[in-house]
Amino acid sequence: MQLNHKLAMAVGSLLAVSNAQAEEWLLDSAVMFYNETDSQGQDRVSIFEPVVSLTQQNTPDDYVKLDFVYDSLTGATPNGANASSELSKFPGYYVESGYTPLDVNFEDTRIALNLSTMKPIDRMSRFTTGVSYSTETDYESVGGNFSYLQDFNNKQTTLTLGGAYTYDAVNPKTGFRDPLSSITDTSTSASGSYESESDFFEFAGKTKQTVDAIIGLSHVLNSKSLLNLNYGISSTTGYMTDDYKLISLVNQNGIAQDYLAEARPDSRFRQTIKTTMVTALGKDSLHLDYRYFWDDWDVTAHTFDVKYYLALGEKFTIRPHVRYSAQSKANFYRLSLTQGEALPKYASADYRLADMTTLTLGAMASYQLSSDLSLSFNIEKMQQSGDSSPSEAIGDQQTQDMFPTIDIWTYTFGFKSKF
Amino acid sequence: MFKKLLAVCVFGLVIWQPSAMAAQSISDAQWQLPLKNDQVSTTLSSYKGQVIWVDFWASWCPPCKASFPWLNQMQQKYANQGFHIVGINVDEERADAISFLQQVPARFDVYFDPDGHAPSQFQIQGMPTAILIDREGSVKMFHIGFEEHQKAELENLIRQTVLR
Amino acid sequence: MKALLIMMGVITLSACSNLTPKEVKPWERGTLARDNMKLVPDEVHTGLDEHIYFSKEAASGGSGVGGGGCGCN
Repeated sequence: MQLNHKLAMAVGSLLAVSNAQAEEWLLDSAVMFYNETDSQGQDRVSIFEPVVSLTQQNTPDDYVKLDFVYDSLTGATPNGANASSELSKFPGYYVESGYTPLDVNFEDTRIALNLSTMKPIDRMSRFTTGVSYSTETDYESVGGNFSYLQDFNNKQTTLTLGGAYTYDAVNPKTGFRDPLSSITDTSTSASGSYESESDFFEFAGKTKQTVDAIIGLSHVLNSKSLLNLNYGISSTTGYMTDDYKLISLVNQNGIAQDYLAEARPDSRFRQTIKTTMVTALGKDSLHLDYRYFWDDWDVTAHTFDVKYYLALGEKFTIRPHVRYSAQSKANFYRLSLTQGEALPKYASADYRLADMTTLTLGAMASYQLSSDLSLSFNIEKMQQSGDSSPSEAIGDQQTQDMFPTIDIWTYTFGFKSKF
Repeated sequence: MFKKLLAVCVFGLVIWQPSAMAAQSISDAQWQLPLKNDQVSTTLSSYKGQVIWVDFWASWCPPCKASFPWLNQMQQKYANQGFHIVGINVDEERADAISFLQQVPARFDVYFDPDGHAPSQFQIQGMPTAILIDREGSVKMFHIGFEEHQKAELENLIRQTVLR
Repeated sequence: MKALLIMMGVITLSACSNLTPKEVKPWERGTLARDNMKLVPDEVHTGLDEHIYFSKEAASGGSGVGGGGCGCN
C-alpha cells in the first residue's frame, strides 16, 4: 500500500512543475567529426554529429533529461560485392578493378530525441523511464524504456532491472528487393519511392520490433572500487535485411556474373554479459570493461575496454583509451555466392557480420575552466580488420583483397556547463 | 481504550515518517566526543544544556551543499533561544572541505573529523545525517538526507525543541 | 611497446590492492563520489562511441544504469 502511494507521488512529481529552489540545469554537449578510409585509399563515410543533452536536476537521483542528436552522413559505404580484377557494373555506377565496390550514393541525415527521467521512490530505490524517437531519410524509430533500481547493504549494492521496447520502420530509397533476387530484376516487392515528408508515426515500409531486458548488479567493493555486472537480452522480430547491400554471384573463376540482394532472418535473439570495474589510484581512476556477446545468428564477440583517467592537477585530466573487440561471423554471412550452387535461405556479404576485429586507441583531454564549465577534446582511431584472403575465396577472388582494413578517425569537442 | 492506543500508534507512525524518531539519550561516551578545528579542541559536552543540531557533512555530498544556506538561516534565527548547529566534516582531505566552505560558507561551528570517529560513534547510516538533541540530552530527531520539501517540517522540530 | 606493458603491469598490480572487499561506511564514500569514479563519467562521449560500435559491428549492448557514487539521500 505504502509502495503504491510512493510510486503515485513519484509519478505525480514527475508531471508537476519541479521545485524551483533546488533545481540545477546541466548542459552536456559535443560535436563529433568522423572520417573513415580504407587501406585501398578509398574515402568512405564522413559524419558530422552534434549532440546536446539538457538536464533539469533536483538531485543526481531526481531529474528530467532531454537529448538531441543530429547526424549528417555522407560518403561511400561497401555495397557487399567483392573486389574484382574486372570492371564492376552496378545500377548507376561502375567500380574500377582492384577496388572493393563502394556505394557512392550514401547520404543520410538523422535526428534523434530522447526524453528521460529518474525519480526516487524512497531513500533506497528509484526508477527511470524514457521515450526515444529518431528519423532519417529511410528509417524511423520510436521506443520507450524503464528501469527500477534498488539499493541494499547500506547502499553498497544496487540491483537494476530494466526493459525497453522499440518499433522501427525502414523504407529504402532504392526500394525493397525480393530476397536473393538479381539486381537486374526490375520488379520489386514494394515501392521504394520515398515520400518527402512522412507524417509523425505514419510508418511506410517494413517494420521490426525489439524488446530488451537487462538485469544489473553494482557492488561497492571498498572505498576505492566499484564492480558492475550486467546481463542483457534483446529479441528482435521483423524486417532486418539491408536492401542497399548485395552479394556477388561468382562463376567458377571467381568473377561476378550477377549481384543478388541480401536476405537476413526475420528474428534475432541476442545476449550479453558485461562486467566492469572502476577503481581509484590516488586521484586517478581506472575503468576496465569486458563484454561477451552471443546471439542466434551465431555471432559471438569479446570486447575489452580500458580507460585511465589521469588527473593532472585540479583542472586537467587526460584519459587514454584502448578497446579491442573480436567477433565471429554470422551463420548466414557469405563472402559471395557461387553459380550452380543451391541458394541458401539467408545470406549477407555485409562485412559487419564477418569475422572481424576492431582496435581502438584514443585519448581525451578535459579541462575544468571553472566549477560550472568544462571543455573536452577526444581523438580516437579505430581500425577494423578482417580476413583479406579467406579460404572460401576462389579464382580471381584469391588475387584481390577480400577485406581491406578500415581506418576510422573521430575528433570530438565537448562542452559541459551548469547553471 | 483500544481505539485510543490505535490512534496513538497511527499518529506515532505519521510523525515518525520520514525521520526516524530514536527515543534515546546521548550517552556519556557520545558527550565526550572530541571536536577539533584550527581554533579550538573541545568535546560535545561543551554544548550540553543547549538545543544541539549535529550535522555530519562532506564536500562530496550534494545535499550538504543544498542544506548549508538553510542551516545558516536556522542558526541565525534560533541562536538567541539557545540553538547551536555543530557541523562535523568527514572529508578525508581538509583541502576539499576548505574549498567547499569557500563556495558555501558556514555560519555555524564547524569541526573536522577526517578519521570518522564521530560518525562511527553515532552509527550514522547515510550522508548527510542530522541529529537534533534537546536541552535534556534526548535525541529528538535522527534524519538522513536533505530535501527542499523537508525544510518546513525540520524547522518545526527545531522550534518545538527550543520552546520546551 | 615494452614500456607500455610495464606501465600496464604496474597499474594492474596497484589496482590489485584495491580489490580487497571491505565494508564502506556512509562517511567513507568521498572517493566513490568523484566524477572520474562514476560508472560512465563522460555520458555524451560514451553515447557517441556506443552509436559508432552499434553501426559498425555485429555486437551491441551490455550497458545499463548502475550504482556507486556518494550514496547520498
